[in-house]
Amino acid sequence: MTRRRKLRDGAKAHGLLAPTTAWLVAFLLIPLVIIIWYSVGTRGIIDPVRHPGGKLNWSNYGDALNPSFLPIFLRTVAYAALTTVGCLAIGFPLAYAIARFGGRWKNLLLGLVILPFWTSYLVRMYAWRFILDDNGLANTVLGAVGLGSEHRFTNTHWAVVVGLVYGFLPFMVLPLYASLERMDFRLIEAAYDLGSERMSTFLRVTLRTSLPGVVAGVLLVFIPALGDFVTPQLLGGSRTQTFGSTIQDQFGQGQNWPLGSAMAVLLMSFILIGVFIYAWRVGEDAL
Amino acid sequence: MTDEHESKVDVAFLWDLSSPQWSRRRFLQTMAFMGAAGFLGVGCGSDDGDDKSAGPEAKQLNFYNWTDYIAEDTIPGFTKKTGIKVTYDNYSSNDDLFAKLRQGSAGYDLIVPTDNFVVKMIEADLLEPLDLGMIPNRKNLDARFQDADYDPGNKYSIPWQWGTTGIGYDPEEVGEEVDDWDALMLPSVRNRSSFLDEARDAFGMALYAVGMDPNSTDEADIEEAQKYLISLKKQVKQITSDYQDPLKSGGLIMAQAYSGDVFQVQAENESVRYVIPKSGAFQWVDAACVPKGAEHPKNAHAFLNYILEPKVGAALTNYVQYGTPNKAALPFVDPEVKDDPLKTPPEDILSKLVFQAPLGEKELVIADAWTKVKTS
Amino acid sequence: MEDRTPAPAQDEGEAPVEVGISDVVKRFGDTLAVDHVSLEVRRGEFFSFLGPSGCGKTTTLRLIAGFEEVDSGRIMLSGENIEGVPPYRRNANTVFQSYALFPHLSVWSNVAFGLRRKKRPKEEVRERVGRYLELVELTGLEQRRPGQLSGGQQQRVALARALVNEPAVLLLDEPLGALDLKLRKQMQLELMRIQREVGITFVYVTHDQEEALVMSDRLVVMRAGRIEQIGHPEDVYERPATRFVAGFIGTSNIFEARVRDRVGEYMLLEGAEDDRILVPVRDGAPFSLGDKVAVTVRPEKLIMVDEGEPIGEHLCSVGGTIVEVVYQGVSTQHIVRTNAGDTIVAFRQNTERVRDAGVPGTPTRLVWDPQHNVVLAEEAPSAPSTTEPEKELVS
Repeated sequence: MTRRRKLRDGAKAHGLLAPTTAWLVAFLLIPLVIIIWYSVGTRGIIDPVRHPGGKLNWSNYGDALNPSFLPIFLRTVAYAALTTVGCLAIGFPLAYAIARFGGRWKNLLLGLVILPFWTSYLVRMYAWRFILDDNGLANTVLGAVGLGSEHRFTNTHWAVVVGLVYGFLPFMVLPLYASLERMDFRLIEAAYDLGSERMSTFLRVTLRTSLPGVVAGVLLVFIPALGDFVTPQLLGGSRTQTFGSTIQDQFGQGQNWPLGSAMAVLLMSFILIGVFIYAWRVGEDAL
Repeated sequence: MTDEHESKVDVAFLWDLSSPQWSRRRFLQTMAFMGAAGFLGVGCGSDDGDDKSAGPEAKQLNFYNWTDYIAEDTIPGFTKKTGIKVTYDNYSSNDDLFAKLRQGSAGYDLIVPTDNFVVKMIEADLLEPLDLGMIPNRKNLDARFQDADYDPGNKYSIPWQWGTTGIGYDPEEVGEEVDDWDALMLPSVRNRSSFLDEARDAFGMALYAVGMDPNSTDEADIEEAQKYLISLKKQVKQITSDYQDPLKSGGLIMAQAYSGDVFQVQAENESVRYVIPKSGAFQWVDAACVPKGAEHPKNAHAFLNYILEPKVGAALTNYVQYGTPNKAALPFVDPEVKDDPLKTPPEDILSKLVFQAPLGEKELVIADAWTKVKTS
Repeated sequence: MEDRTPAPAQDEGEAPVEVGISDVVKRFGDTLAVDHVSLEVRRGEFFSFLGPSGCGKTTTLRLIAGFEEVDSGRIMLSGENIEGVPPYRRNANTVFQSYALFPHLSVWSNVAFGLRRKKRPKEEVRERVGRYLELVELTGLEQRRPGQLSGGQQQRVALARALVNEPAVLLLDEPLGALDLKLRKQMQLELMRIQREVGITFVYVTHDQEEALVMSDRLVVMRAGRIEQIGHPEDVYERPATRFVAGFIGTSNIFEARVRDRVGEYMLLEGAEDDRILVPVRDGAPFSLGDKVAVTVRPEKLIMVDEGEPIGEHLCSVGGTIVEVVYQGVSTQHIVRTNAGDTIVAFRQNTERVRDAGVPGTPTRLVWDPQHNVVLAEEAPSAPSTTEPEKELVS
């Protein structure tokens, strides 16, 4: 290859990458650096973050690791984990059914799954509040069929999980579908033929070959769910505070931007480590 | 037929990553190059050297106000009178307003922060001093507001409306009439009540409830208030400033609330009532200010003068149901507002109302205690 | 349900029935895919299902494997009725047309799959997998993934994977379809060798009649869900029962004419002047004078002679004009238009270098032994005709 050709191809490559890189730098890299910079700052009333004398204040990380935050952190992880499991439990059969039996309705069905995205997330969560409220749809229907109409659904952990599962389901269904769609369903027959029973075949063949989709779906659900604070606030109440809400508070009434930043950095690190371990265990292939 | 080998996830198709000209080094080079370019871009900053000529202003006013905080005819009346078009945006928290201002160049000419935030903004040098000569109607203000603690001499702000922070509730659902902060601990309101998602307001209530000064910064006091709030948190349904709809629909039967909000709910749900607790309560003033760097300060002043006109001020109060700081407007205020001791408190109640005192650095103590309450 | 299993062919009486299909019917919606099919596959046989697409052969295979259930009728596997038994509990393994190898598993793991599911001890698994990989000549490729193998290699993995379980029956669904010609022919012989070595009953589905003839001990020709004929390859080839079988397998020449006269044990058919078509009376089905008959004879049985050459009285003889000569290396094909108006084909093996293949337009005469003539039925009989091996006709 001539030198000139090499340069031209190189420039083309840079050019192709440019928009994405610019986007990543502007909206990922720079904010990340800013947050890290804040996390070693000192709080203030007028100036929310200061670096007096250029000194780096590492005590924020110590504060962020305060054990009193542990219950909230565990609760947040529990919500995210339950949401992921819920999305898998509902999303896998759904994606499988569409991929295997959808026929010419496949695209339409997928469209229906994505349709809620056309509405704002907030509006959808409010809709759930409308359903779950004390005088809401759920209680009305249950009352009509004689199952009592005084149930308390809002301000419970389950309301939060239901809202989160509903909100994140498409994130699970789409990658799962993409993976299942490419699967050769004759492999299932082959497995049966060789003596593998239904559950064994499901685990060893279906799940295994759609693993990339599962991994993608799990990541796409777990990570954002971990940081979600809107749903817990809307559908929950005083008892469903999450780590995300706590971080948000630090930038508001808590008046401690450095602490909030340190917490955010810790949360991100936790997620990164988790993702790496997960990928390593489940297989680099899958990722 | 031999499609079994499509086991691996297919990686990017946009370019041929396996071709020899591609390498990890090149990829990182691209990233680094873009990164540097990005930083330079950001570093070059947004300051575009203000060059506000002293020429005549455009007939435009950018007004940033609380939600549900203006009468229907206020702005149309202003535009009709002056020919100045008004762009009206809303916010629902002082924190948000403050954050926006801190970023600079928010583009607003008129904002309406609460008194404690006026103090902070003055300290942070975010407000333009007012040219009081352009606001002759200032004389209409009640003396109480002409020389308030948070802004002596109205150097930076003109009071918009004032109110109190008390309790909104439904006596029928609660089962009794209440008169003090401890009502929130009643068994009948368990899981159907709320207190405000504001550190100072919540702590003020707690300090009152444990018999202390709501503006106290004493560590022991704050710790007791913190304990109180943590136990109250177990009783309430939510910690929220978004209580109006639930109060109206019955989702909440008791809420720590702002006076005017409750009166607005009452207009639609007659059974809801407001009470100023007898131990005392915070009073507050929302005051209109001109942020530094506003593009249409003269128009802002014109509006401030306009809002102080008696009829305009009265119309505002009649609509939003808050207290008017405008003495001259009183004759035009609806009797149901004027004569209601909750809406126009008499002297004996007024004496129990306090403003949130600016605490300076001590505010961080409360902020931290608040975090502990929220994360308990 | 009446058992309509046909009487088994006599000389196979020793080996027991491995797969017994009795009056099986299978519908898909409105389509009748398998229409009252009954047959028996003996242990150790290489048995083929032959027919065009849609004839029901693959469906029947899937019924045996357990991927479909019969609508009526019965299938017995090793003497047991397997109705309702799922595929993972049947003692049969399938080699799929598309191989269906597990892409995420190595060759070794693919082959070991079935044994592991049955929880065989590690030692046994290791030994058997190694042995069968050797059998299909894939030793050394154990760690590869299917995606890294050629078509032929994948096919052998599929074979090993099924065989290693040592099932009672191995079902093969057109396994060689994707291979190129040379490889296919090679694999045909390989499969036969393996089958003989391992001794397992093979049930093989194909649409390639040559393949079926080469590999099978017995075969069944199917059309539109019904059986046309079952028998040994030579019988099916030399004695096709129906028009369809005659046409489907090999090339056939069909004469249709009325019976003119009876000459000894032969019927004489009407034909052009100087033509003589004799049909042996067989199977106890004499034809009466005046009956219309369809007769077939294989092209390689026809011998071309020059006009004027003396012809034996007992031989058939038909005159015509050469229309085309096709040189095929191994043989030469002559397409002849008879004086009676039929178009027939004659093959001649090129035992010598061809010097005088014949020129289109030349008149010629075809002569053959009437023993090679077969009377055709129009349709498959309701009980499938099991052709018995040729018996020497008492002349």
